[in-house]
Amino acid sequence: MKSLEDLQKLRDEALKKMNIRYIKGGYRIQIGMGTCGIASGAKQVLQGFLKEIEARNITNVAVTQVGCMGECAYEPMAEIIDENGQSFVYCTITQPMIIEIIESHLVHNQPIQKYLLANRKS
Amino acid sequence: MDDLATYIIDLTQNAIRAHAKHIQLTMHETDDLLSFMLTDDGCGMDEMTLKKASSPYFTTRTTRKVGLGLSMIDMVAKQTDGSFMLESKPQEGTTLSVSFHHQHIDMPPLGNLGEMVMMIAIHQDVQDFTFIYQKKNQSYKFSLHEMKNMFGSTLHTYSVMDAMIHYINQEITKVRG
Repeated sequence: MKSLEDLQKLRDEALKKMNIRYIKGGYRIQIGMGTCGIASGAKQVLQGFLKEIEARNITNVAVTQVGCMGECAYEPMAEIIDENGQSFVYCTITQPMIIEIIESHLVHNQPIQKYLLANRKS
Repeated sequence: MDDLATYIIDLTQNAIRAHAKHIQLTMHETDDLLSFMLTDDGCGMDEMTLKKASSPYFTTRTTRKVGLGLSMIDMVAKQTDGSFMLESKPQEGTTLSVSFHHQHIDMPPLGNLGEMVMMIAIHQDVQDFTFIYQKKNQSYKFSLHEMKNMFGSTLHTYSVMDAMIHYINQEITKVRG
């Protein structure tokens, strides 16, 4: 059985991890790198985001990798989480779409509705 | 998936999900065999799970019902008359050893190994990663620990990553001769 101290330690560790991963006032981009994502081109999508973000000198974005996001048919996918914790999942991403997403969503804070999983699925 | 490097990136996801602190990938090339050994110190698997692990219809994930990573590499190894072995102990870790006859007509291309190493290295949940490529008495070693000391957080920027991919590929080419 865990003591209260154990739980506090666990909480502190979790908080530390969150501080490392979340950039305050910015965006977090999670690329799905499960078998399905990799097979659909997630490597190129990850590199595409990193390249474009560096080229535009955008500093408030953290790009990370996650496993299978559960919608294999719609890979490659990228989830953009904003500073309020709101999530936008973009699917079947291509290189030209990356430039559009960065320009519209990250620079002008305008999510592109037509590329979102929720709209493409229905 | 069309090259070996991509298969290996996928297989390392298993080690990451097993909360491994250290992942080691050793590739060894001889005149007719290419083998790799992927070792992690993650949570490991019990005997029952280990038996089912390479079946495409088994996964521990809840988001879908198939698990293709291990089953696909098993298939590739068999189609080149190679071998596939998975060993694991709960709380100790897992070792995957796969070999291929690289002159076999069904051998997939090697792919971009530099890109593979960097894709694994920049994963936020990978704490330490070592990659070794050996051929005859030559070898190249990449240590994420050393790279982190050298580059810090800039390792995650596109320009450093791109430069590292080129550097690693160049060193591997030297080893392969």
